[in-house]
Amino acid sequence: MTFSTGFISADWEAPEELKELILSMSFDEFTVFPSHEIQRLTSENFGPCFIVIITDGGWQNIEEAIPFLTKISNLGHEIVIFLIKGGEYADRIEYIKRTPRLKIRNVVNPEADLHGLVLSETMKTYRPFLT
Amino acid sequence: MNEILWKRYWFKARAQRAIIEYLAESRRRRPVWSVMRYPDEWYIEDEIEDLDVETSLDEGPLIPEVTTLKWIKEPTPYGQSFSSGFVPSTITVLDVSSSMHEVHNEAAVAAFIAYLSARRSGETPRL
Repeated sequence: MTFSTGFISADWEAPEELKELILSMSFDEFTVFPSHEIQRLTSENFGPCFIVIITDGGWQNIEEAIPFLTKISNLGHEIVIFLIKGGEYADRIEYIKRTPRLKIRNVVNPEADLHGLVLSETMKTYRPFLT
Repeated sequence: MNEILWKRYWFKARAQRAIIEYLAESRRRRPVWSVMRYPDEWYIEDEIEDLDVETSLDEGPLIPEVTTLKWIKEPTPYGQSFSSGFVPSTITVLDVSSSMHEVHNEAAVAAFIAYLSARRSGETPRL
């Protein structure tokens, strides 16, 4: 799923090409966290999800998004937020960081650190199953 | 749209390379399965269980140490093992707003890393 003011997401059964194209898109608009769409996807899924969020934290609907993330993490979904430094959203970022059960990974230098941090976190979940 | 198509391949290639490098570096030898590499002569002092009767009969009548064959086994290079358990589904959520413009390429590759890791594990990722 990619999001800006709106979002584009792929359904579970969507072809790989579509999923990869969605991840390649950029909108350069405002930042509205797509809580309802994530809610829809998690509710359609059997079992807990591993939710990877890559963002600078400048969510304009943060008052709605954080309680939502807290709620679904309490349901057993694992949420990791890669918080990229650079935006001027200190109050929103503090709100995200204060939220229990959300795993926050601060990314100070995205060029140097982001890929390694994402690899490290995803491998904790998927390494035993990788072929 | 054309640009997105090219970016897709670029992001994906970078993510795949990162995953492969990570796996190659972290790989270590474990107790392994053996694989049968090549046939060799079976001698009287060898274990009877090692005798491959079917392959030996291809050589002619069973004559010990003349037509009898066994398979030489070697461990697989890095080891293989079964993993069982619940593989969680992944939802990859990528912020592509204007404030992310400067770091968009790195963020997209990172999103592909999460997506492809899940896919390689056998899980069907959602976006």
